[in-house]
Amino acid sequence: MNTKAKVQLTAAFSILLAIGIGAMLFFAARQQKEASVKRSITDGVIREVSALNVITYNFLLDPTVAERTRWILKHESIGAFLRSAVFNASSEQIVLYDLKEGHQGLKAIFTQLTGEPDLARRNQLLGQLLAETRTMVADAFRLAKGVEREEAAILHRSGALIIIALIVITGSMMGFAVFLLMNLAKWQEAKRARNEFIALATHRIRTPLSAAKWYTEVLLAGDAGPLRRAQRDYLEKIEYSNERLIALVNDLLITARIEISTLIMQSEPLQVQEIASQVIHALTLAIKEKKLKIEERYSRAAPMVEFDPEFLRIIFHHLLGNAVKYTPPGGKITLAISFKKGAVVIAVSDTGLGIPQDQQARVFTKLFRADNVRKADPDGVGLGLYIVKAIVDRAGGSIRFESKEREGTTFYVTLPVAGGQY
Amino acid sequence: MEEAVKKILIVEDETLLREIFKTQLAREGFSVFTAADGAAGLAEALARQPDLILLDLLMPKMDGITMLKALRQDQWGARVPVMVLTNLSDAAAVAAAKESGVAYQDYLMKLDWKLEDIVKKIKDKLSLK
Repeated sequence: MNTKAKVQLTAAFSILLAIGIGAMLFFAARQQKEASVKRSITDGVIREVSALNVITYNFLLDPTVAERTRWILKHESIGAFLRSAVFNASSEQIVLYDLKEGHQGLKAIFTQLTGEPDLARRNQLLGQLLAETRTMVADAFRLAKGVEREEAAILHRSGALIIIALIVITGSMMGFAVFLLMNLAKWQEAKRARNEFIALATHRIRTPLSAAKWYTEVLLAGDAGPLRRAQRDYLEKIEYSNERLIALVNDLLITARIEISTLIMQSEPLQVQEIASQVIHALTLAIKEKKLKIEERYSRAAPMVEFDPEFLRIIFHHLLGNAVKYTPPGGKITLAISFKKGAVVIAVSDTGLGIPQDQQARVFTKLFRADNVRKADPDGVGLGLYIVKAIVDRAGGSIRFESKEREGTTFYVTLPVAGGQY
Repeated sequence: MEEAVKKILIVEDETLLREIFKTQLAREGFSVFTAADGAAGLAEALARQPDLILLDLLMPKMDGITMLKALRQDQWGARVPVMVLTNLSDAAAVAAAKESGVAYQDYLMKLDWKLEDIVKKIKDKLSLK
């Protein structure tokens, strides 16, 4: 070995040693930091930090956590949820908690957060929470990929609302919990203000849309004089665009209501078949244009039941609307409505594009659109099934589907209804 | 026997909407008069006693629900058919309208309805063919 080589080796060794010492120092410092964080959590001291700080802190603290956090923030729905939690939290407190660290810390935080003095009751609550976590972990693993999210709200004795959102990410096989501490009075006030704003803004947007709709209708009816072919053609395009805008505003409004939990059920005596027929009537033009066959299979009895007519209309509107949109010309749509004790069962089948197998788990996710429907109809926004699922959940019902690509899809909705003879 | 011309009152603060309604209903042979807020609507209704009232909800001076409640206090006003025509899909507003005798099927969302179909509904309500 020549001198030059020796110098090079020594230099390389020195660098390795320096890296090694640096790494040791780094890990020691990290462990110390980690320990102090753990202590501050287990001590039940929820520090006054902004949510963003907590997330940033995790980045600095642990590269694995940083990696995962980055993954969360990149992930569409979870990222959106965390960001909204962060923004909603503002001056409130938020703690990101890694479930891998075991349940001891969680227990301490839980005690602190609930302020529940009764040990048995506290353990019972925590037990429920952990059981839910485990179910979610199991479910998430079973689904192999994707993300689950659960929220539980607990009222602190001090009057603060604690939202515990448990997030399970199966990609990295790791669980996260987000604890959000909010001042209940402030939270409710903010919610009320947002609700008022949405109601007012919606009304303001809808007014000019109504004017455009009706004036176009009058022109197209020839009430303001005969139209040339090109004029009629352009007016029909204006009408189509306006109707799309109306549908979008309606979807956005209901989505906003879902998100601030102000969907209120207002039950009325109604006939389910009648509402279905109204929705089909509204779709007649599109059905005729595509030469679709529509079969209505209603049970012979048409009982009066109690349900929210607006909710029911929205459910039919989206399920039937999707079937019409995504079924190729000449296809067939079947709507079956039947009643069993205390429930109505709605099934909407089509011979349409179907939902690709690998995308079926995300069908009810907000803004999600499967690749094949994106291609067939680039104009959609991906809110319909999210809205339907939220309404069905709100009503205490259930929804599921069977689908095969290029063969078709059937959605089954079961809704609890009051009244009626079956 | 010749049927008397039916009178319709439109209570709507938006000029564009009020005008198109007035034009279309007049075209159908109705006698139409209008008011741009709830207070004026109430006065017009009591003075002219229309056969049917088309009522908007969000309006200046007096909102539609307040006007409806006041109207129902009157002996004549308690029975006059009212159709709510609004863009407010608030469950509370639907419930309030129902309490004042406007059934769900007479609570119409403007954006869901074509003028032609609203006219049909008005005729049905007044039992005209």
